[in-house]
Amino acid sequence: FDLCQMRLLVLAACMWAWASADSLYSVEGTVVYPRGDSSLPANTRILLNYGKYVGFPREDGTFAVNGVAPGSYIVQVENVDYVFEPVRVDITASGKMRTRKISLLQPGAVQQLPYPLKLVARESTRYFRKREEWRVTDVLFSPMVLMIALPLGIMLILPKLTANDPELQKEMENMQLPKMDMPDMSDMMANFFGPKTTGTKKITGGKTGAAQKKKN
Amino acid sequence: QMGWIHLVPCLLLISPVLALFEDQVGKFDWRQRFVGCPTQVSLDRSRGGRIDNILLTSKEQAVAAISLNNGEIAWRRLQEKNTTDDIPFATTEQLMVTVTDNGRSVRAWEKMKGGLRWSVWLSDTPSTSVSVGATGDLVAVVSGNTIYGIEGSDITSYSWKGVITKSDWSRVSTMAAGSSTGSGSSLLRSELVLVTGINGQKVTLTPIDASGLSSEGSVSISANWFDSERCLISRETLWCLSSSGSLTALPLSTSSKSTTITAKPGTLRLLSISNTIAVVGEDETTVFQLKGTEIKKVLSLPVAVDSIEGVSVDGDSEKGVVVVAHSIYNLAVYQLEKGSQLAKATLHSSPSRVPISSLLLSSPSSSSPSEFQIVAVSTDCRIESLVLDVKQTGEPFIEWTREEALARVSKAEMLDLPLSELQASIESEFEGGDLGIVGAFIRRVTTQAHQVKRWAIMTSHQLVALSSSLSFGRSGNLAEILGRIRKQDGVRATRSEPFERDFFNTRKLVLLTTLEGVIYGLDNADGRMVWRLNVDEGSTHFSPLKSQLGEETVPVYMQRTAVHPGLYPIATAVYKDKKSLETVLVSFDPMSGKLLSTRRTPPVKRVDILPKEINEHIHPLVVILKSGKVVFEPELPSDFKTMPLHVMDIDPETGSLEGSELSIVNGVGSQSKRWSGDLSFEKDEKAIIVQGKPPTQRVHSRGRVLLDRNVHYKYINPNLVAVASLDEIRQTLSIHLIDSVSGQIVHTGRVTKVTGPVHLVHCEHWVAYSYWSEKSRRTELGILEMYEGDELPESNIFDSLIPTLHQPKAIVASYIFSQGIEAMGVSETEQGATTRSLIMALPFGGLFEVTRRFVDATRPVDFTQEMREEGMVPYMPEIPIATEDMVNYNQSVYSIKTIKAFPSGLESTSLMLACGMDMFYTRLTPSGTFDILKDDYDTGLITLVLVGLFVGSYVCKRIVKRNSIKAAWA
Repeated sequence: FDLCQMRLLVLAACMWAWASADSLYSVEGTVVYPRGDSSLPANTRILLNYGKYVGFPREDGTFAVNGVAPGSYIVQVENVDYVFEPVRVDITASGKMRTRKISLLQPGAVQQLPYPLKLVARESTRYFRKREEWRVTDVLFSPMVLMIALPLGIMLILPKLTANDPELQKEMENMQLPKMDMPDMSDMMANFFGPKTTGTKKITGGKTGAAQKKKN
Repeated sequence: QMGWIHLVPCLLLISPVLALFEDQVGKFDWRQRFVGCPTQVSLDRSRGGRIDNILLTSKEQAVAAISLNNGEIAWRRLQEKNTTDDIPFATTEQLMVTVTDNGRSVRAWEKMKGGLRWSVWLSDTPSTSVSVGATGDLVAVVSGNTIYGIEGSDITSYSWKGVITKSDWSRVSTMAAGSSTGSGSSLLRSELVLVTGINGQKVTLTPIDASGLSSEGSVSISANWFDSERCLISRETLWCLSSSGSLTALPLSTSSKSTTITAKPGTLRLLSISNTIAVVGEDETTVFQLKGTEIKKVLSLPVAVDSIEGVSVDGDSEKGVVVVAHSIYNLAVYQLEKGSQLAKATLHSSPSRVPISSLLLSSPSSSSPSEFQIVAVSTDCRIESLVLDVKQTGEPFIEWTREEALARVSKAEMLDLPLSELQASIESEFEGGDLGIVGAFIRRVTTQAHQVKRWAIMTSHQLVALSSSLSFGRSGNLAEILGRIRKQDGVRATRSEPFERDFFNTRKLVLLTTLEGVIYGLDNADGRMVWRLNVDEGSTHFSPLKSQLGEETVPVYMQRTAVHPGLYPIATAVYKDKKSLETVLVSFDPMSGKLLSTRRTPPVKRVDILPKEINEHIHPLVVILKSGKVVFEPELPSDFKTMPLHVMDIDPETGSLEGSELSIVNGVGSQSKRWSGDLSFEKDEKAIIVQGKPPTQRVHSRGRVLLDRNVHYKYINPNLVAVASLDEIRQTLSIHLIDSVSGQIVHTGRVTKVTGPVHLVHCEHWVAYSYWSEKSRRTELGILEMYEGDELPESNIFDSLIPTLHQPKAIVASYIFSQGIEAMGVSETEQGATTRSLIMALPFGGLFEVTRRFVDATRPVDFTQEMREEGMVPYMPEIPIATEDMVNYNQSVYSIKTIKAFPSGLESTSLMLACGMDMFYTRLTPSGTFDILKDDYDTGLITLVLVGLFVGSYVCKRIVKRNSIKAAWA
C-alpha cells in the first residue's frame, strides 16, 4: 500500500514538474519615450537576459515578450538614442510576476516596482565628449599667461611709480636680496653660439638689478 | 561600501582617455550592416505597383527590407537567436507577417518602416512544419497540425484555431484578390484556402474566413498523383510533378478537376504569373500554363537553367515575360505569348560562377516598358540588382551588390600590404649582391632617379586632383575651398592607388573567410571590397571544417607575407568537400584574390603552419591526417631540419589530454606520443573553450614593480593553453592552464554556481573570463594573473622543459559587469608596451572598451596614500560602464561573434575588427595617441602664426630702418 502511495506521489510530482516546465508566460509592459519622437518603436527591442527572449514594442510603446519560462530575468530596452533603466522580473512556476529594481552590488535587496512594467527613457544617450573650445578668458586666466603678465606688469609699472619718489628709489636700490646662483639664459646662449663676449658681467649685473626690482 | 564612492572621482580621471570626440566620427572607423543569407525573398509590390523594397528573412534570424534603389537596409528587426529554422512570411497590402520561434510566434511588421503592428503567441509547443498566408486583415498560420486564424489590426491573441485532420502536407494559399485571369473558373469565395493532401490518396481544399475553417465549403478530390515531396502551389493552382514526369494541375476552386499532361521529369519552379509553372529538367526547361482545363506548353528551352522567374506584363498572364539565368549570369528574357526570345545578356563583370538560388523580377514600368529590374540571390549569399533593357544589347547594368556572406565570418586577419615602390626599391638596393663600386653607384643613381620620378608623378596627380576639385566649385568662399582641399586630402589618403603600405603601416588588407565558402579582401581604410573569391566555383561541395569543440571554422594561414619584394604573398584556406569528404587546401594571393592552386588530401585532423620558412620565404603547412600521417604543403626539402613541434589534443567530453611530438628529419615528419594527462571532468562537464596564445605576441616588460620597489616576475609561457570547462548541471566553471609541451597542469581554478555564456581571453601572463553568476544573477568578469616570483629568471627565453624557479603563483580577482557579453577581445600592439584594453560586444549593440588597469587582479583593496601617489587603481567590485566608452558610439552592431585586434606600425594604435551580423572596424588607442600628434593638432594655426611672425619682423625691420633714416635727417 505504501509503495502504491509512493508511486502516486512520485507520479503527481512528475506531473507537476511536467506542467510547470511546460507552461510559459509572457512579460508585458510599456516603453515610455520622450514626447515627439515617433520613429523610436521601430528601433527598439526588449531583451530578457541579454537576448534570451526578445520582444518588440508596438507603436504605442506596449510590448509583450512571449513564451518565457519561469525564472528570474533582467529586462532591458535596446535603443540607440535613449538610456533606459533595466529592471528585474521574477516569474514563479505558477506564473506570479514580481518586478524590482536591479541592485548588482546587493542582489538580495528588494525594491519592488509595479507590474506590468513601465520602462521610461531616462535620458538621451551621450556617446561623445565635448571638445574644448577656444575662449579668450581661458587664455587670459591660464596660469602661464598669468605668470608672464603679472611680472611684466610690475616691471612696467613699478619704475613709473618709483620715478616720482626718489627716496623710495634709493631705498629699493639699497635693498639686499640674496643673489641667485642662476646662470643667465642669454649669457649661456651667447657663449654657446658666438665668440666669448666681453662685458658679460656688466650685463649680468644689470639683469640682477632688474630681477631685484621684479621681486618687489 | 561608502569607501568606494570616495574613489569614484579618482577613476573618472582615468577613464576619459578612451572616449571619443564628435568630430572624430567616421575618421578611422566604419561599419557595415548585413541582413544575413536570405532564405525567402519577395518584392514589395504595394503602393500602386511601384516597387520600393525587397522583403526578406534570413538564416541569421533577421526580418528585413532592402531598398531596391540603392541596396541599403531600409529596416531590419533581429528575432530570437535560439533557432536556426527558416522564417516563413506572407505579405498583405501593408504588412509583412512572419512566423518565428519554431512556429510559435506570429508578428506583423509594417512594410515601409518595420514597426511592429501586432504580435500573437500561438502555442507553447514548438513545431516544424509551418505555413502562413495573409490577405487584408486575415492571417492564417499552419503550425504542426493546427491552424490558427488571426483577424483584426490591433490584437494580442488569435481569433480561432482548428485542428487539421491527419495529412502529409498542409499549406495555406493566398488567392489573388479579385483575380479574373487564367482559367476563369469560379474561385472560392474566400481569399485564403487551406490545402491538405495525403500521399497518393486525396487533396482537400478548405476555405478560410474570419470565423474559421468553413467545413461546408470544403472539397475533397481523390488524387492518386499527390506526393507531398513533389507538389507546389502557385497562387490559384496546385501543381504536382511525379517522378516519372507527368505534370498535374489542380485549380483551387470549388468545382476543380485535375488535369494531367506528360512532361519530362525534373523539378518544379514557381513563377510569379498565375496558372503558370516551370519544369526544370536535366537538359530541358519547359514552362506550362493552365488554360481552362488544359495545360499548354508555352515555352520550351533545350537547356537546363539555374533559376527561372516570370512576371506578367500589364496584369495579363498570357503576355507574361520570363527571365532565365542559364547557369551563370547568362540571362535571357523570353516572351510567353509568342515563345520567343526578347533579349540575351551575359554578365562578364561578375566574378562569381555560382548558381543563383532565387531570382526576382519586376514588371516594367509604363514609362520604360523595355526595362526589367532583376534581383538575383546566389547560393553564396550575394544579392545583386540588375537592370536589363531588352531593346539594347550588351551587358545589363548592375545597380548594386550586397555580400551577405560577410554576416557569417569565420576567421579574420589583417595583413600588411606590400611595401611601396619607394620602400621596395630601398630594400632591393640593399638586398642585391655585390656589384663593385661602379655597379653600386649606377644602382644608387637609378634608384634615386626612380624616386624622383615617382615623386613627380604623385605630385602631378595631386595637383590635377586638387585643381579639378577646385574648379568644380564655381562659387564659394575661402572656407569652402579650404574644406574641399582638406577633403581631397582625406580621399587621397583612403583611396590612393596603388594599394601599398603607408608610413605608419596602419593601412592593411582585411582577409575574411566565411562559412559560405567565400573569402573576402577588404581595405581597412574604408571597408570597401578589394576582391572576393568563391573557393568552390561551380560546385556546391563546400562545407566548413569542424573544430574539436564542434564549431564550424574555415581556417586560413599566411604562408608568405607581402613584405618580400618580387615574391607574391600566399595564403591558404582549408575546407571540407561535402561529397568526397576530402580536405581541400586553397592557396591564393591575398592581395589580389587570385587563385593559385587547389590541393586535396584525405580527411585531416589538424592543420598548422610551420614556424620556420623554407626557400623563397614560404612557411609550409603541417597537415596531420586522420590516419596519423604527417604531410607538408609544399613538401619540405630533403635536408630540412627543425626543432620538434609539440601538439596537444584534448577530448572535450572527458578532459583527457594527450601530448605528442612532431619531429621532422630530412624533410619527413613523424608523430610520437610524449605524455598523457587528464583534467578528470565530471559526468556533465565539457570543455567549451580552448585557447592558446598568438605566437607573434610580444610582452614588453617581464615584471610588475611593487610598491616596495621589488619586482614580481610574470609567468610568460608561450606554450600555455587555457581550457575552460563548464558543468551545466552542477553549475561549475573551471579554468585550467596547461603547458602544451610538458603536459604540466600549471593552474586549475573553479568558480561555482555559474553558467554560460562564457567568454575567455588568454594573453601575456593573464586570462580574463566572463560568466553568468547564478548566485548573484549578474555577469561577472574574472581575471587570473600568473607570477613566477621575485627572482629574475635566468634565461630570457622560456623553456617548458626546464622547471621554473618557483611554482607559478596565480592571483585572481573578479568584478561585477552590469551588462551581458556577447564576445570578448583584446587589443594588440606592435611591442606590447601599451596597456592593453579588453573589448566587449554588449547585447544592445555597443562595443565597450575597458582598460586592463581596471580589469586587474592586483588592484589593492586597502588603499593607502602611497598607492595613490603611485597611480594605482583601488579595487572596486563593479566595472563602470559608460556610454562614452563605446568605441562604436551610436553605430550599433549586433550578434558579434569575434573581436580581433591587430598591431599597426604605431605602438599606440591597435586595429580592431568586430564581426558578426554586423561588422565594425576602428583604431584603438588604449593609452592615447602618445606617439603621434593629436588628430586635432592645429597645423593651420601654427603655420599662420609663423608666417605672421616672419612678415611682422620683416615689416618691423623696414619701419625701423625708415625711422632711423628719418631720425638721422632730422
